[in-house]
Amino acid sequence: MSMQAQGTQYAALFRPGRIGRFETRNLIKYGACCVSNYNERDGTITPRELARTRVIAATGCGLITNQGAYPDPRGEGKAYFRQVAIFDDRFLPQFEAIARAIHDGGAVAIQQILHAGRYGGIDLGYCVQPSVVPQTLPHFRPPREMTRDDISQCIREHAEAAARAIRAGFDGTEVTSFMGYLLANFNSKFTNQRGDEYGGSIRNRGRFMRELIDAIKQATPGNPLVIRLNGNELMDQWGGNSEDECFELMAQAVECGIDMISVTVGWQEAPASSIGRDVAPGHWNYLAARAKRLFPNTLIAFGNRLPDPGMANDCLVNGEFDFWEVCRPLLADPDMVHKIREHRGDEIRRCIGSLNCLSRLFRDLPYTCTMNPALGHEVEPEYAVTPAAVKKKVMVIGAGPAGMECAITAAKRGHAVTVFERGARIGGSLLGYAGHDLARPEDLLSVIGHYEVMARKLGIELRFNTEANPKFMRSMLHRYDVCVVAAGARIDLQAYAALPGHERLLDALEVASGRVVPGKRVVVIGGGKIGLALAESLRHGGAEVTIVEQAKRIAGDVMPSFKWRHTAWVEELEIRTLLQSRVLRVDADGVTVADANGVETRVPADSVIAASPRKSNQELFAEFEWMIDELHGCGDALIPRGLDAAIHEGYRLGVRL
Amino acid sequence: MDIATDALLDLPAWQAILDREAAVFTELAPGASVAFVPRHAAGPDGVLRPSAMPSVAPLEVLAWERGADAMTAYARSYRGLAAAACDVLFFFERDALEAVLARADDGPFGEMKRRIRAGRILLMVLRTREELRARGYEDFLESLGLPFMGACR
Repeated sequence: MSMQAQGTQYAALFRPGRIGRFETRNLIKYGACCVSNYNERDGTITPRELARTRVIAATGCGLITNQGAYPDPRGEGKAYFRQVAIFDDRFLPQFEAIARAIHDGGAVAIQQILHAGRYGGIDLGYCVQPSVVPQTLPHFRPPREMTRDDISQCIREHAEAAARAIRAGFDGTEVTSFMGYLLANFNSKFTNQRGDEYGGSIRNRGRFMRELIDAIKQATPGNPLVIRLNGNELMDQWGGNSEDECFELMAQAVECGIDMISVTVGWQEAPASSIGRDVAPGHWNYLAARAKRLFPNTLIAFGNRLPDPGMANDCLVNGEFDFWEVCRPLLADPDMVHKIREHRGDEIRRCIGSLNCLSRLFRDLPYTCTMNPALGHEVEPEYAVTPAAVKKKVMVIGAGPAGMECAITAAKRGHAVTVFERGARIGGSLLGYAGHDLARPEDLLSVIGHYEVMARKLGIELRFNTEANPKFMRSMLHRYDVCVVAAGARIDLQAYAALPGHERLLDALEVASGRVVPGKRVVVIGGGKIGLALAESLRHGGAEVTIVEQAKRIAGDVMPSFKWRHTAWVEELEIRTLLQSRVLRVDADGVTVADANGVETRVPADSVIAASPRKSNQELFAEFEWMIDELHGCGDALIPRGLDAAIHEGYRLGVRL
Repeated sequence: MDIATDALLDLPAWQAILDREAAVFTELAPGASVAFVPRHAAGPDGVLRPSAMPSVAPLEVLAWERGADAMTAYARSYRGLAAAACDVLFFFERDALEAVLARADDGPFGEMKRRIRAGRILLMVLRTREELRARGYEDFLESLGLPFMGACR
């Protein structure tokens, strides 16, 4: 459903709600879906975190869950280097500040307690689990089995942490199994192989959860407790719980008087996607609907891969769940709730599911957002969009993401902005790339749609079909104070000048844009994101495709969270890949390729597409130097990279012009 | 598995694969080793149990170990996770490893990758990421479609 619909389309989202004795102003729950990694190594909260919290508090959600804090002083529950801690009263003042900020913003405040189990012990040489079951990804710590005493202590620490959160001013607490944390490890038959009363039958596996709920309820009587439980672990093929077993465990939680179940999907180790861009929005809604059917008297929150408020509103109307739990869409656009309430849904900057946020956590970096360059920098005035002291006339060359981001940000600050674009519409290379995306082109096209709306609303002048040739542009320069070169990058065909038959090469960007149509037997030179997107799309359309890549692996420039997706597509589509190989010559019948040992292979082809290397379109810098007051560049025009760098650089330039 | 009779322990066949695919293992440090364990194995009472338990009755299993120059296939004893003296364990369903062997001349690791994704082979890591990186596992694990630096999907 379109976000642009107006009127009462979102009325259900804005109905008042209730959790326990607390009323909520609407049915939107900010989910604690990401640990920010903004804090100190000892679990102390930083000014950066508090500034971020104030943004979260102002989102307009009815219920806000603060990110997961680990409850034990040993750090066994700690999953990320800079995760916040709640195992001691010395942390109280900062939690008080967070609870206060959430209340000041008008929301009910929930504190999540996160013990990461098999993903924990990040500072230690081990992690704790119900049983010694090694992890299936090489990121984590070797496991130790918890004794009964360990389990009792762990439950006690959770209860103490919950009581501490309530003392700090939070209204309720939340424990989480998402995505494969300690609670999930006990619940799952994959990771729980105990022979005592905490393992074996599903009743025994659920004992830890039941005792945890009981202990927290006793420690915080009168305050609601939320539990995040998998509706589907996506681990069943590796011996995990079936979907039915997941719901049996939910029934146990309901039996213990849980106030709300937040239904989730997947483990970090799951071999299939749960929240990535290749999963269609709404795909998992049936899990929430099933929970609501089974447990009509327990609040159900849901939001996995449900980024569209229109769809969420429909789910509420249909009684599929009680609260829309949303996090990543609010990372991308913290004003989303306000925009939909004020019928400005067309201005929403959508989460495109790139999972940049999570990719960075696995590299022990603070999370950021592809779509929201200010995220994580709220404490820095340099990232704020403030009125420009001197209003300038700004010329932006290139209507790709870097140029448009810069143009929009500059226009918001009061500058008069004109964008020159050689194509017929906004988008630059992203437009061609989106057209070949096998995941969800709509996500990428939403970026372009957002720029079109904002350019119109901000009165940015767009001059399409205008080639930025130096002579013409020089004639325009005197009218402007600033020139921003955001002309992107091109395939460097000059790099092939010495290749016999190089004149037969097709430019990948020409193919991507549809200006050149390849044949049915295609060789793609370069297994980076451009080459892969084209290869996958052409193969999907029925062509025989071979990728020739000089590196040892394909997808070297792809965001880590999506690399696996490309390699899986290459496998599924049976695209031939010749790695550590280079093209020796091109002729009318195909190409000759040599591998690392010099062994030659002949690959028949009617089209040979050069998809690498890329070269920045920087020529205008040299042309314009000494001709305009300010000359800047951003995005691929500086160094060829991708969407994330383009958006972030465009924004950073826009806030300082 | 039985070393004498089990086709899955056809060491010359596995050695041929390792020799043919040697490029994947060039970065591995001497001593780096992986083992292939049947997902379930019968105990003395004949009952099938998961092999991914802290201790199990001794099993003869396939292992690969990096020597000074190359990867070598051999058979070794497996007594459960607690005593598994290797870096990575592959728990397999029989049909999956048979399929890998059947593709010995035609992309065996591509087949292994597919079987891992299909859940017919489960990998467990017994070393930290830093240890695995120091032992040169990045190429090998990435070639099996396993995101070495982690993934969230």
